[in-house]
Amino acid sequence: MAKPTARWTERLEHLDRRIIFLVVAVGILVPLVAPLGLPVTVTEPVQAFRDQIDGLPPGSAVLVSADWDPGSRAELLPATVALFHHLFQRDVRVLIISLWPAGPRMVEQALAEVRGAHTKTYGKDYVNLGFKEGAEVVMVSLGDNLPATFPADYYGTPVSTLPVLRGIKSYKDIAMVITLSAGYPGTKEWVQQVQDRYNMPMISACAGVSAPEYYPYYQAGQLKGLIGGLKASAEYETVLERKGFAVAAMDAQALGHYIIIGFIILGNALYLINKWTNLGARKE
Amino acid sequence: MDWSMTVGNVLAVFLTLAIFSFLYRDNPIYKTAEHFFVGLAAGYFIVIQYHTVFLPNLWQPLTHDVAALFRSGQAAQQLAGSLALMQLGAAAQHGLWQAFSPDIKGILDPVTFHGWRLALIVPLAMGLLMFTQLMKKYAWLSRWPMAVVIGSFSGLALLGNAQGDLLPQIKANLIPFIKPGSWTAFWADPGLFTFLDVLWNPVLIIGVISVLIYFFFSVEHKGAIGGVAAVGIGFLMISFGAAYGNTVMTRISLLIERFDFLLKPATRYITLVTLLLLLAYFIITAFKDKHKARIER
Amino acid sequence: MRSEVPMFITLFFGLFFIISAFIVHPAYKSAAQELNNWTLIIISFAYVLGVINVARIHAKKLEERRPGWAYSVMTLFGMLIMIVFGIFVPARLYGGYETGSLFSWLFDNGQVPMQATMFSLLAFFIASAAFRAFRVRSVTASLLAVTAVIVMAGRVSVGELMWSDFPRFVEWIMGDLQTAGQRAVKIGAALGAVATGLKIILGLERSYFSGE
Repeated sequence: MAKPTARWTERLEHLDRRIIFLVVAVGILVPLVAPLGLPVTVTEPVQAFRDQIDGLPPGSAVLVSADWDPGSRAELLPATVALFHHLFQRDVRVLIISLWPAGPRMVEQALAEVRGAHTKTYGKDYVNLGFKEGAEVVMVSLGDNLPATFPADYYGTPVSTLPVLRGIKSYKDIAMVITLSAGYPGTKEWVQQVQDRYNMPMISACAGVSAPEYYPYYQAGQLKGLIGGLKASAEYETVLERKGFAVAAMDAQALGHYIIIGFIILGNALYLINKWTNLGARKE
Repeated sequence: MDWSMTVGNVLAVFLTLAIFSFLYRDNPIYKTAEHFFVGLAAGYFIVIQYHTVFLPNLWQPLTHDVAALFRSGQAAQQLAGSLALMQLGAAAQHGLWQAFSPDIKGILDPVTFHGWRLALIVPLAMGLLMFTQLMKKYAWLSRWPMAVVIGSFSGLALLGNAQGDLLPQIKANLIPFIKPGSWTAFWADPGLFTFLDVLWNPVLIIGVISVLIYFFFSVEHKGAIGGVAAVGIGFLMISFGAAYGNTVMTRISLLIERFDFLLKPATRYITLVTLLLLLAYFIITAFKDKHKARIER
Repeated sequence: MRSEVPMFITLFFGLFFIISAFIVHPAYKSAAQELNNWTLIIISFAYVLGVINVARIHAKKLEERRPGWAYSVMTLFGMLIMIVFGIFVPARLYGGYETGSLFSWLFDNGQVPMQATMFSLLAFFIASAAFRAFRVRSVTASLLAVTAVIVMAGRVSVGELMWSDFPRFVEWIMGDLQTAGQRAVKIGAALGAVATGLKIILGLERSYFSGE
C-alpha cells in the first residue's frame, strides 16, 4: 500500500535545515551590503558606564581586564576599542591585563585601532601587562602585590622600569576595575573576589549571553555600569560619538532577530496546524 | 604590496569558508581546518604559558635573579642578616616585640631577601609532578599538585560566593515593599513607566522568594507552597526567556562580524574565488558519489 | 600517603586563601604573595598537562594509523609550528610571539578566523532550533517564548521604530523582572558552592582523587 503523501504543512515543518541556514545568511548579508542607518537609543546601564569613566579623577589609574578571545570578538572588540578611545581621551593611566590566554593579542588588535587617534605613550600612559594563569588566584594576588604578580609586561619589559606603574602596588592605588568579559573567568569572578572585598568601583562590558546574569550585580550596585552585548556597544559608540562596527552592525542585527522571531512563530504555527489536522483526521 | 597581509587574508578567508562548509555537510576540508585549529590553539597556549608565566614568575627569578644575587656578593650580607635570629635570645629578655627587629623583618620579606626565590624549586617540583599523571605507576603523585589547585579554587569559591554573591544579593533584596516616592510619582504622572516603577520592588521581593521556595525540594510542592512554587517557575521562565533572547543576540552578532570580514574590500574577491572553488569541489564530489553508487548498484 | 598528603594540601591551601581575606599584617601579606605565585605556577602546569594529553592522543592515533589519522597530522603540525617558532626560533628568523613573528601571523590569520567562525556557526543552529524544536506546549513555555520575543524585538533599532519606549521597557524586563529569577538562582548557587567548597576543603568530598 502506497504511503500517503505528506501535506505541504508537514513537509514545511520538516524543512531541510540548509534552507533555514540560507535564509539566515541572506538576511544578515543584505543589510551589510545595503545599510538602513537605523537610530540607536542609549539605555541607562550604558549611560552609567560612561558616567563612571567620566567621573575618574585626573591622574588616577584604572585596571582593565580583557577576559575574552576570538570567539567573542564580534561583541567585545567594538566595546574594547570604544573603551580605549574613551580612556585615552582622559587623564588616566590604563593598566591592561588578561586572564584569558588569547586576551593580550586581542588587546593588541584593539590598541592598533586606537593608537593613531591619540597622543598617549606606551609605558607612560598605558601598558599591556599580558596574560597570567590562575583566574581568581590572580585577582586576589593583585590585591597583595600587583608588580609581583605581573613582574614584566606582555613584551617582557620589567614593570619596575615602566613609569605608568609608578606608585601602584595593589588595588588601593587603583581607582576602578573595568572588566571586559566573555565567560569564565570574568565579571562574575571579579565581583565575587574583588568588588566587595576591596570595595572597588567596578564596571563591565560583557557578551550578550552573560548580560542577564550580571543585571543582579548592576541592580545591587556591585557593578556601577554595564554594557551587555553588541547593541549596548553600539549605544556606547553613539554616546561617545565614535560610531564604529557596532553601530554599523545594528541593521543586520535587527533583521537577524526578526528572522529568528519569524521562525519561532512559523514553526509553532505549523506545529499547531499539523497537530489539529492530524487530530481531526484521527477522529474521522 | 604587503605579501604577508595578502597571504594572510587568503588563509583567513579559506579557513573561514572551510569552517562554514560544515553547514552544507561534514567534509574533509572542514575536518582538516578543524584539526589545524586545535593544533594552533594548543601550540598558542603552550607558548603563552611559557612567555607569561613560566619565564617571568618562575624561571627568571629562580635562575637569573639568584645568580645575580650571588655575583653581587649580597648573599654574604643576607646570610649575615640571618644571624640576627640570634637576637631572639636577647629579645626574650626584653619582650617578644623586640624579636621583630628590622633584620628579621628583612629576612621574612621576600622582596628584600632574595633567598626566598630558591624556594621556587617547590612549585617547579610540584608542577613537574603533575606530569606523573601520564605514567600509570606514579600517577598517584599527581594528586599532590592537583590538591593545590583544588584547595585553592575551593577556598576562593567558598569566599567569593559568600562575600560576592550570597550576602550582597540578599542585602540588595532587603528593600521596602514599595519603592519610596514611586506611588506618589505614579499618581502625579500616571503612565506605564511610573507604574512599572511602583512594581519594581514587589516584583523583586515576590520573584526572589517564590523562586527560592521552588528550589526548596525538601518540602512537597502542594497547597500554598505549591502555589508559590508555581509563581516561582513563572519568574524562572521569564529569566530563561530573557537569557534566550540575549543568546540569540550574541550568536547573530558573531555571524555579522564574520560576514563583515568576508565582505571587506581587502577580502571580497578572495571570498568570491574561494566560494567558487568550494562549490566546484562539492559538485565534483557529488558527481563522484553518484557515479560510485551507480557502479555499486 | 596517597590520600592523606593531598587532603592535607587541599586543607592548607583552602584555608590559606580564606584566611588571607581577613589578615592584613604586612609580614603575612608578603608570605601570602609568595604562596599566590606558587599556586599560579602550579595551575599553569595543570593546563600544560591538558595540552600534552591532546598531543599524546593524536600522536597515538597517527602511530596506530587509526581512521582519520591524516587529520591528526594537521593537529600535530599546527601545534609544533606554533611551539617551535614561538619559543625556539630567534626573532630575526620570525620567531618569538610579538607582532611580526610567524606565531602572531598564524594566530591572527589562522586561529582568530577559525575560532570566530566556529562560534558564529551557532547562529545558524539557533535559527534551525528556533524553527524545528522551539515548541510552545504549556503556559510556562509560552512565558519563556513571549519574554524571548519581546527581548529580541526590543533590543534592536527596529523595535524603537515600532515603539519609541521599547528599549526602556526591555530594560525594565532585564533590570527588574528577569533579575528576580537570576538573583534567586545566584543565591541558591552560592549556597551550594559554599557547601561544596567546605566539603572539599574538609576532605568530606574526595571524588577528585580519581576513583575514591
